[in-house]
Amino acid sequence: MSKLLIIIGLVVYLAILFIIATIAERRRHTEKSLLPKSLIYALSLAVYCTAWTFYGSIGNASKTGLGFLPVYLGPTIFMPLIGIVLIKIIKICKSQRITSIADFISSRYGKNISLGVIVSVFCILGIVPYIAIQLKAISATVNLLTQYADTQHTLFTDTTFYIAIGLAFFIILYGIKNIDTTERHTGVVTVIAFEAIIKLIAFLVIGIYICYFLFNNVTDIFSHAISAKNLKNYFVLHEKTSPISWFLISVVSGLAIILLPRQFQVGVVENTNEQHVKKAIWIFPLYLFLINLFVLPIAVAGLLYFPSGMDMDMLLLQFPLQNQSNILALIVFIGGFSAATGMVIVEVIALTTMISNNIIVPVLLSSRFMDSNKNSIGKIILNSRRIGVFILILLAYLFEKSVAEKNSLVSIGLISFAAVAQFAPAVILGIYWKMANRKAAVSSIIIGFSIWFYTLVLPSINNENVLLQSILDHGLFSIELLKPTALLGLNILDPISHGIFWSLLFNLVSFIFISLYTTANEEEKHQAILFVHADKEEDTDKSSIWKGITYLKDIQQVLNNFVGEQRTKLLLEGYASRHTISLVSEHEADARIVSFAERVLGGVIGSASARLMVSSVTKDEKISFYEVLDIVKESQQIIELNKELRKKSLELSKATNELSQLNDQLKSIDELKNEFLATVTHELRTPLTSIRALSEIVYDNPEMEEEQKQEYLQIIIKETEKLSHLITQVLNLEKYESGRQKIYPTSFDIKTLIEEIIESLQTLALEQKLEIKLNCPNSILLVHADKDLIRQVVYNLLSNAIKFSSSTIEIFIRSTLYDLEITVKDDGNGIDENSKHLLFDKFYQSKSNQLQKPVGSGLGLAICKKIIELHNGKIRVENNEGKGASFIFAIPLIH
Amino acid sequence: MKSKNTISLLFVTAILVILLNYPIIEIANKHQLIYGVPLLPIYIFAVWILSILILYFISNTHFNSKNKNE
Repeated sequence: MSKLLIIIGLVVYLAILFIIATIAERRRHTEKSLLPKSLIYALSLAVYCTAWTFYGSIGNASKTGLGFLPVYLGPTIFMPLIGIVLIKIIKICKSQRITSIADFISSRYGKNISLGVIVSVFCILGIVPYIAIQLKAISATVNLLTQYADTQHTLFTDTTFYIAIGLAFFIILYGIKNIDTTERHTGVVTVIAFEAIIKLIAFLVIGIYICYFLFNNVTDIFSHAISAKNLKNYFVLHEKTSPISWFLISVVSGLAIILLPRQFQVGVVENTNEQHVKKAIWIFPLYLFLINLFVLPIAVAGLLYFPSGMDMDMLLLQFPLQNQSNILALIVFIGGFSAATGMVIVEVIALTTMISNNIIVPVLLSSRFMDSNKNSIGKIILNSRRIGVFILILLAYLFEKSVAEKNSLVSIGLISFAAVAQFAPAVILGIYWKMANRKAAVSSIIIGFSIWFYTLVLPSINNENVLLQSILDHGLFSIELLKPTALLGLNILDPISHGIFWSLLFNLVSFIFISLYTTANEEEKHQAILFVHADKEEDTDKSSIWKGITYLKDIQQVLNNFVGEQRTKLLLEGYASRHTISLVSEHEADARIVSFAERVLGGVIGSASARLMVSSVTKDEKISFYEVLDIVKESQQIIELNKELRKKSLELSKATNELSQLNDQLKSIDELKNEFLATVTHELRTPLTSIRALSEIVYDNPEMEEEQKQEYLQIIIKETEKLSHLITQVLNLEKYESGRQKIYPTSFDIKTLIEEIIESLQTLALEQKLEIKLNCPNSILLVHADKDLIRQVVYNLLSNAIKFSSSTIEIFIRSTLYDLEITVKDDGNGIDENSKHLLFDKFYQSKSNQLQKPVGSGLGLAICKKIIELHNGKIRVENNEGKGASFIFAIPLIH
Repeated sequence: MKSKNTISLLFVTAILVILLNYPIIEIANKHQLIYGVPLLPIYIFAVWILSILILYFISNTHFNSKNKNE
C-alpha cells in the first residue's frame, strides 16, 4: 500500500477530528450536541480500549486463548461498584474543583504537596511506557502497511515522529486552551467518543470480514480449529491462566477504570452530570462486550490461516493485506490509530495537568520567580503546560524507540494497570474511611510502587546487564527469597499476578496498619470529613474556615492573575449575588469568598497550590482544628461556669436571707441595747440625783443639825452602795452576754451551800418577820457546778423572795436521776401572767403591780438566767395555787 | 443514588464476581461445543450480556423513579 494513501487517509481523519472538536466546542453552551451527552460520556470511557485492546488482545488470545478476557471482564464485573464510587468521587471533585488523580489524593490527605508530587511522579513512571506502546502500535502498523523496513529510518523519515508532533498540536489546541482545568474539554471528549465509535466499527467490520468472508462463519472457525489443528485448549482455561491471576487481573482492570489518569480525566473531570454515570454502567460494559466478541474467533482464525511464528499482534492488518484489500486495511489502521490517539490525547492532557498543578506550580509559587512575574503567572503556567505536552510525548517517543519496540504490547499495559492500582487504598479507602491519613497514604504508595518496580518492571527489562541478571536469577544480594519473580519463594503465580499480588498486599496492609496507629493533623481530618461525607455535605462554603484578614482586593488580584480579570469579575459577582455577600474591594473579604476563590484557584493550579496561594495573601494562617476545638471547649467551660454561677447565686441569696435575718436580729439587739442603755442611765441617775441633792443640802447648810446631817450622809452612802452594786451587776451581765464568763465547776454539797445562804440572809428575813423553810432529803446532794455562781443564783432568788414574801419562804431541793431541781417559793402577790415571760429580761421590774419604789437593779434575774444557761440548766417561774410565786431552776447533775 | 439502588448494584457486583470467577467458571471449563461454539466462551459472554441487561434495567428504573420525584 502506498505511503501516500496512508498519509491522505490520516490527514482526512485528523481533519475530521479537528472539525468535530471545533463544532463541539462551538456547541458547548447550547443544548444541541452531536450525540446525547450521556452517550458521549459513556463512549468516552471507552478510551480504556487502546491500541493494546485493538491489536494486543488478539495477540494475547493467540497465545493464551481466553486469558485475554479478565482485562475486559474486570470492568464489567465491577462496573456497578465503580458506578457508586465514581459518583462519589465526581461529587467530591466538583465541590473541591479537583482535576487529577494526584490532586485528588493530595487534597484528601490535607492538600499535601509532597503527596501530589509522589503520585505525579509514579503516574509518569507507570504511564509513559503505556503512551509509548500506543506510538509503537502506530509506527508498527504504518511500517507494516508501507512494507517499510524499520532498520534505517532517521527521525525525519519516521512517520510516527510526525504523528506524535501532530498529536501534541491537537492536544495543545483543544486540551490546553484554558488555564482553568475544571473547564471541560468538550471538543476533546467529543473526539474521544467519536474515536470510540470508529475503533468499534473498524473492529466489528474486520471481525465480520474475517469470520464471514474469509471463513464461512464463527462455528466454522471453531470446528476447523478443533479438528484440523487441535487448538481445543484455546477454548478452555488451563495452567497458563490460574484462578488467582484471573481474579487479580480482573480486579486490577476494574480499578484502572477509576485510577488510570485518562479514565479519571474522562470519567470524573470531564463529567458534566452525575446522572450520566447511571447510563454508563450498562453502555460501557456493552461496548467492551462488542469489542471483544470477535477477538477469540479472529485469533483462532489467524492461527489457522497463517504459518506459526509470525507477529500475532498485527493479525488484524495481516488479513486484509494478505487478501489485497487496501480499503479494509485502511479501515483497520484508522481504527487502531483512533484507539491509540484517543488514549494518547487524554492521557497526555491528564498527565500535563497533574505535573503542572502538582510539580511545576508549587515550585513556581515557592520560588522568588513568582514575585517578579506576578501578573503573567497565568500565561507562564499555560506555557509550561504546553511545553509539558511536548516533553511527555517526546519521552514516550524516545521510550518507544529504545525499549518498547522490543516488547509485546500486553505486558506493558498490565504493568501500567498494576502501577495505578497502587493508588487504590489511598483513593477508595480514603473516601469511605475517615481514619485513613497522610502518613499511611505516602508510605503505602511508596511501598506499593517499590514492590511494583522490583517485581514487575525489573523482570520486564530486556537487558544483558550482569547485575540485573544476577538479581533476576538469584535475588537481591543473592538472597533467594528476594527473587523478583518469586518473592518470599512464592512461585506458583505468573510474573504479572505475582507482582500485583505482592505490591497490592503490602500496600493495603501498610495503609491500614499505619492509618490505625498514627494520627492525622487537623487539615487532614478536615479534608477527610469533607471527602467521606461528600454525599451528605452539600454546602461546600462551610468547607473551609479562614481566619484572619484577607482583603477582597488581594483575592481579586490573585484570581486576575490566574483566570483573567473578566472571568474573575464574573465569578465573584455571580457567587456574591448567589450568597448575598457585598463586594466592596476595600473591605475584608467574606470568608466564603475566600473559600470560593480557593476552590476556583484549585481548579487552575491544584488544591495544594491554591491553598499556598490564598494563604500568601491572608494576613493570618488558617484556623486550626485545635483552635476550633478550643473554642468549643471554651464555650463548654462557659456553660460550666454559668452553672456554677447559678449555684453560687443561689447560695448567695440564701446567705442574703440569713444575713437579713441576722440583720433583723441585730436590729432588735441594737434596740435592746439602746433600751438597756436608757435603763442603765436611768437607774444610775436615780441614786446619783438623790446623792447630789442630799450632798448639796449638806453643803449649803453648814449649820444643819448633826443628827440630820448624819441621816443624809447615811442615805448618800446607801445610794453609793446601790450604784456600785448596779455597776458590778451591769459589768457581770456584760460578761455573761459577751460569753467571756467562764464556769469553773467543782463538786460540792448543794444542801450545805443553801444552808449557808439561808444563814447569811437570816437577819434580813427576821427583819421582815419572815420564816425560811428548807425541805430536802437527808442525804448529801453532790453537784458538779460553779459553786460561786450557783450561790449567786440562790442568793438572788432568796433575796427576791424576801423582798416580796409576806410570811414564809420555802426552799425545796429535789433530785432526779439526771438533774437537780431547786424551788424557791414565796407567798407574795405572785406574778402577772402577761409579764411572766419578761421576768428574766434585763431591768424588768415588776413596777406595774407594785406601787412602791422598785427594789433592786432589775438585773438579778437576768444574771440568774445566764448562769443557769451556762450550766445547761433551765429556770422558770410559776404562780402558786394559793398565793405567791415559785422560782424553779434545774441543773444537770453531770455536765 | 438511592440506597436501594446502591444495594442492588453491590449485589450485582457480588453475583458477577462469583459467576465470572473460579470456581464457578470451572463448571463451564470443558471441551464441549454448543451449536459449534465452545462452552466456556458461550457461558462467559452469556453472563456478560445478561449482566448488561440487568444493569440497563437498574439504571432505567432509577431514572424513572427520579423523574417521578422531579
